[in-house]
Amino acid sequence: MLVKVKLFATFRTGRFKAKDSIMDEGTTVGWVVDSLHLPREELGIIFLNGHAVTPETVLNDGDTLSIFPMVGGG
Amino acid sequence: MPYLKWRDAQRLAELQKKPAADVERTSLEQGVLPLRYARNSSAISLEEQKNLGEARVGVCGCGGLGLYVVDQLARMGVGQVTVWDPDVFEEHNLNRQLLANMSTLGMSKVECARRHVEQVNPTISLTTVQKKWQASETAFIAGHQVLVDALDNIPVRKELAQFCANSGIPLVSGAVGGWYGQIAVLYPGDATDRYLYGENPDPRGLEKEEGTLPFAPAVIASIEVAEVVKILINRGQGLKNKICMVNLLDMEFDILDV
Repeated sequence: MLVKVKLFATFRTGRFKAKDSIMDEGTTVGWVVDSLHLPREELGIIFLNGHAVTPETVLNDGDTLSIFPMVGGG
Repeated sequence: MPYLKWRDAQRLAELQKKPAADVERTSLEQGVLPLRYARNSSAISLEEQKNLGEARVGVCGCGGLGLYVVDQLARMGVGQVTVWDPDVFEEHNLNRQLLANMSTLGMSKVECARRHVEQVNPTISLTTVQKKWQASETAFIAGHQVLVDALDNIPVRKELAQFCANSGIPLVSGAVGGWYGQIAVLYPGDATDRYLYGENPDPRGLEKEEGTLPFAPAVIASIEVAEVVKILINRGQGLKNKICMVNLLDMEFDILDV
């Protein structure tokens, strides 16, 4: 299946802004996060097709996955 | 529209032996806008300006975000504001915090905020609490119509979100780091905070590596104040069940549904 992965803010550094990737059926958001070496403790909001999801969410063909780093400063 | 000048408000206050804030309130009720709010109108109606004057807003944190928030709430005419922060100004605040300068180094942030608000709008009642916001004195905190999250760490942000959910108070949340920021409005019963901060027990925000550039808190705090005002006057489209992600490096504003 084909999934578009979009990275935001500092997660783009050394990686990419947006990329179409072929993935196995049943791939989860968390698997994509780990495969891109995005530290789980730095993980902020994750959106799938414009709606917030968690790392356990299973991806489907044609999905757009957007991954933001955590922001907490004041 | 007729206006009330500050000089005349002070004279009336002296004659009537009551605070100038009361004179301005009475003036608004009679359809006379204090001149300080002339450029708020007609974006804000007379009735809305009066409602703002009767509102009570709490600002948790008085640093990069909180100082801009307090300043703008005072300029908008929000009548009662409480601000919590235990810190004094340090040199590393100088790149971005509104009242940080060479003469305020070592001084209490909330005390500097109090002096600033007195100069900007002396009719505002600012309550300063020089300690960390925490979910104690719950009756006092729950007396605010809206709370603003201008904190600098995620564990206390989670605690504040939980407090607001339990107390039925809307929470306007802003966070910054580097070139980036986010804003959300959390209403009781929403699941927004779960997505904002995830479930990781030891979250690490990008500000730990990136620091914070001066324009990021100015932008995010300004959007937070716009959200507070819309809640108080019950007008416009707010960020309910939405999160606004701001990237000032690539100039991207993403508004996402939760």
